[in-house]
Amino acid sequence: MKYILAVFIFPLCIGCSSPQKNISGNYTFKTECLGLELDGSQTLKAWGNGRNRLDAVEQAKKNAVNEVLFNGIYEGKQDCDKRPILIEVNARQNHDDYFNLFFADGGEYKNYVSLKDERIFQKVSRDRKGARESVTHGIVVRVLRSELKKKLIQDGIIK
Amino acid sequence: MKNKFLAVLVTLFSVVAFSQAKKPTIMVVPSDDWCTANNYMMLFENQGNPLKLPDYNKALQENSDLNSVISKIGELMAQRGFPLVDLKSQLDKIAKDKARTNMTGVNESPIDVLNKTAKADIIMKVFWKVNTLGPKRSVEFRLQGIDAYTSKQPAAASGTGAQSFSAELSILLEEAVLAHLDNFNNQLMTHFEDLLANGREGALVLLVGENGTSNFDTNYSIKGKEAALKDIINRFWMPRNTVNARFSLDENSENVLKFSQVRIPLYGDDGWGGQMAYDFATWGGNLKQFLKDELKLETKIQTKGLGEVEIIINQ
Repeated sequence: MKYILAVFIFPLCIGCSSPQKNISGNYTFKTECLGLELDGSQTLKAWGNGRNRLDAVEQAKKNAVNEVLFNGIYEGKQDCDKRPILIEVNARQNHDDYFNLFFADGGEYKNYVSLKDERIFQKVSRDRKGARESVTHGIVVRVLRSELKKKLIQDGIIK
Repeated sequence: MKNKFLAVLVTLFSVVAFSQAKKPTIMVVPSDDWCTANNYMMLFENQGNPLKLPDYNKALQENSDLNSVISKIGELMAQRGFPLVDLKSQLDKIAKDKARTNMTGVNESPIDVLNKTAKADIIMKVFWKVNTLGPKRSVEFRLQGIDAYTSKQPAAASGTGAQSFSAELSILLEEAVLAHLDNFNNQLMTHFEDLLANGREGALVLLVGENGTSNFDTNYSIKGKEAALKDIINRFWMPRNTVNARFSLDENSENVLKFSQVRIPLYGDDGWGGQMAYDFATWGGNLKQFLKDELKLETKIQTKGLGEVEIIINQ
């Protein structure tokens, strides 16, 4: 009897449980300002997309540094510097070789971003947003803006 | 336990509150056709050519419906976090400044002067008309958001409200504003996000003055290569000084170069290694400096409104 029931119920279960379509991970989330540390660093909520959690978190760190360098932070609290560090027009293209190395996996960008402001409950989910073949995570990062600026001056990218 | 739960709730709400974006500055003005229909136009002579322009001062002094609509829109926009520039206070400021402003040689209309003084990103033009059908009344309403730099219309909303026997005009107007405002604001934000990503848009006009012999076909040498002045500007300076090299050359002759859809960065070098917010006057100043330093060309620069800069060589 159990087997007969199972034979009837199993296909029903498959039929009813149409897979949930996760698409929120495809949305482009913007980096937001959460506050200033007043020591030249700024705390941001940054988002990254990758094939898994690890990849997405690394991408989020890169995006945070990228925003501070080239775009400035317009979203979130109004405390963060809206001006990017590099104000040179088309700076990314002009210094392409330098920044390709800087943002390479394990590159120097890692020295200017930290996760020390992330609390335990934030670490658990890291605002997971699923998509079909990738995942987006939001993390709280501290970007060391003034150290970043010193590094670029040292390397001759800005005067 | 209760405290921890509260702490988590407070943190969650604070994250929601953080998600506010930078918003464009807006100034609300009556539309030209509303001013014409209500006889609030004035005649302005632009270098000998008569031009009809709206007389905002007169309209604000005489029409209380206009004041109500502007203040209602202002109130609703302020609630939604859009910073507003008050039209009346800007007009007063211009009147005060007029005494000490030397306008000789600058062909700017009073509207250009208003835009330049207010420095609002978006001019919100409002129009309404009361339609009557027997005892019923309805309000036809239109909002146009005009980019003060390019005169493009990035946002608009229009429609006619429901007919009513009893409602007063002020209530009908309020309903019309409420019905259209949020849709309008969404369009505005899309436009403003584009500005943040791709730079401010405007125009650059280069002209040849009467003093001197060089024109845009005259050859100069730059970085070891000889080229006509028009090519130096179009192919050397412009791509290096516009965001993603975005501009279009509309007119190209020996005496006139006209660039439109020029995207300039929001921030740039102040000339001494510092940073400053850029407008077209400052950005045009960089070209003037380039022409002087590299090609030894003396130029004169003047702005028209917020989004157009004119550079005249041989001055």
